Amino acid sequence: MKFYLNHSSCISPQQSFEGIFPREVNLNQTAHHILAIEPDYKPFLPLNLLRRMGKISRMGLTTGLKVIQDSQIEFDAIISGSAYGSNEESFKFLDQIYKYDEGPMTPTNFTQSTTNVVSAQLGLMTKNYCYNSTNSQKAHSFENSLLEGMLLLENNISKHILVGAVDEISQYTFNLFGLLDWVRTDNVTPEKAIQQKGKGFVPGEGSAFFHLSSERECHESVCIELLKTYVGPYQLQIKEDLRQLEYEPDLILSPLNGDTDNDNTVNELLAHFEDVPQIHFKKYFGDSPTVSALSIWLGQQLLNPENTHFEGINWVKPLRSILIFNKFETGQSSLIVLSKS
Amino acid sequence: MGVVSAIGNSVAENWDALIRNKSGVSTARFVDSKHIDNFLFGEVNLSNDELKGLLGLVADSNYARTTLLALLAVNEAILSAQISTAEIDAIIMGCTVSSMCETRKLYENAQGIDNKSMLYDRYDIGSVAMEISEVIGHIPFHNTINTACSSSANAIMQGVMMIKSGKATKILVGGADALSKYTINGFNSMMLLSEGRCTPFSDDKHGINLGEGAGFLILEGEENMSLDKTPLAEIIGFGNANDSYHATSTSPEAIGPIKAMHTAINYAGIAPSQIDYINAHGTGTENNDETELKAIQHIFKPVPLFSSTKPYTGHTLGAAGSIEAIFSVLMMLNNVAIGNQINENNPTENLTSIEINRILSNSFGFGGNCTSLLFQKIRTGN
Repeated sequence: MKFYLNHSSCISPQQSFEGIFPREVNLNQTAHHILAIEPDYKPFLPLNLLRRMGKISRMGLTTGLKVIQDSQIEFDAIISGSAYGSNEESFKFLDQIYKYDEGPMTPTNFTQSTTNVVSAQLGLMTKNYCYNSTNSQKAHSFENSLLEGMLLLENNISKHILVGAVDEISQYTFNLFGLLDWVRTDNVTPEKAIQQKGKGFVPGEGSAFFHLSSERECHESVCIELLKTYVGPYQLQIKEDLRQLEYEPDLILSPLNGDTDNDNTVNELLAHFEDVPQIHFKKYFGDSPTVSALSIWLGQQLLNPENTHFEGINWVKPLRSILIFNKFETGQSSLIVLSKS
Repeated sequence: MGVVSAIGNSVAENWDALIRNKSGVSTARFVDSKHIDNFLFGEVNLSNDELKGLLGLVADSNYARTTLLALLAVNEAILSAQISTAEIDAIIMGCTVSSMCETRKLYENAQGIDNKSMLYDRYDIGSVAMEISEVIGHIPFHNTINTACSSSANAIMQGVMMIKSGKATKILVGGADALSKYTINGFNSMMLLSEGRCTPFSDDKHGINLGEGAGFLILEGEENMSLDKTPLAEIIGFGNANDSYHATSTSPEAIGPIKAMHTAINYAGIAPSQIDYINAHGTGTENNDETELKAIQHIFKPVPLFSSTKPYTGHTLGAAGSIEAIFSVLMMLNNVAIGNQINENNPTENLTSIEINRILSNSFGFGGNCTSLLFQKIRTGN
């Protein structure tokens, strides 16, 4: 069975939602992290809901609804991934607990803080009673959601799957990253961070949703040729799998993030492909556990010929396949190959 | 199979309590919350230190209660399935609380206060699966589903699909959640907690007893099982649907529950009349129980015996689907239906001896997430 990603939508620190292709990171956003450029939500979300919504809901619902709108298809599965869910809402509720010493409190933050809020609201807003699921497995939250979609197709349970991922940088995630010493504190853009290695990464955030199916559904469709995930001591296995790729990709999206250890590991693993051009996607998006969803969105854009003039790299031929390698500090890695075949 | 809940620390202890009509719902001793004075909970009868002792972990090991509960059930599941950890190629579990049960530590850490909790990267939902893999030996694939109270039912379903697709051969599936100040206050803010023992489907419903625990099962594909092994049960159907009505309550028409049960029954290719018993979600809230009853009455004519085991264990959230899957298998193996009315004056009233060949287990959650699993008895002599 073949798997295709068709219509897609992405909110990120780039103007990706408007379809403006990543060019340079907004230099104003360098307070040790880069926030998403949030679009005008009003065409997608009713104002009364929008006011009460946390950021992961706003970003996740809007990218999901955009895909539903563009594909004009009745989806029969909705799956989303999020590593941290709605940290902002969780913390607001925690704050109430301690502030009022477990006294009476309003439930809104609690009910908004559940990780499944995006999938559930997408079902609710579109009155879709179909399969509905949420995966939360650190930096495999998106990959596992994609895998779940493929399982539904293979088992003939669903035909058109809305699948995506979302994570936000709240002050609280940022604080936890800080305690772990994961954040670059020298106030550099992600791009600068990659040029001048140091300790930690620049956190980012965003959401991307896709229409996954076993048929090509639109002009922008790309085929998922490979999806592999790795946990734990995976480096030898990745090396082996990369060596055994059936063909050399035309381009690699590589997960350099400016952290010396991370970047050394990545470069070593990709040494095999020294002649293949690389794009360091985290310089556009910052780093997050579900940044792989954003990188796949980027890969899909690059495989569509009108977008292949990028960054001064002149492709000698149209891109046919892209290898996307992701790796996050929590210990998960993935390899994904997209093709235009 | 392996299980730990308020009624026992093993499958045998849980079954013994069920048939003796012993509830584990009572006053909580370990969870840090003011509300333990006001409401009853299904708390596991072991402190964290006792859990660590049973697991052979050093006293200062850093795992939160959710992981400790999970490990106890995982160890029993692996032991009873007579397989080695190295054979397990995936863990798929449901969880909603994770290390957030250390609520005070999280509250401080989230503000950037370094309280040396060493849990900074362990509060997220996916941490428990990773920690299980850390302790029992490396498992190459981890996933955690959080669809609120149907999480571990969906984990079992995803495991079945993995096996059917040939992506794994032996999968550890299940769920775990510990009681936490966070969820207790969450459910209290919605005024859903019960001062007495919950009484699902009775006229006198007064809310939920939050509980805690873990349930894990080993799933194996028939093709890959050794011939000398007899499985405990077969999963013949599953259905996942969304009620798409309201974030925290079910629709009066019971759309999601009906669709989930229908899908499971259709997948199995059987008639509703071939189901002998329904292990209901039955939380003891008016909203859930009325909707679920309506859905059951819509599909089943006549309605088979049904009940909920939540008066025994409390509602174990992310662990409920898998703990109740295990109870379903036990009821089938023993041909005993466990009733939901706990009546201490008449301890045998809850038991009904009936031939159970097929049992449907329901799990419904916030966000409209509804999942039904359909189990079938293994026919001996085949």
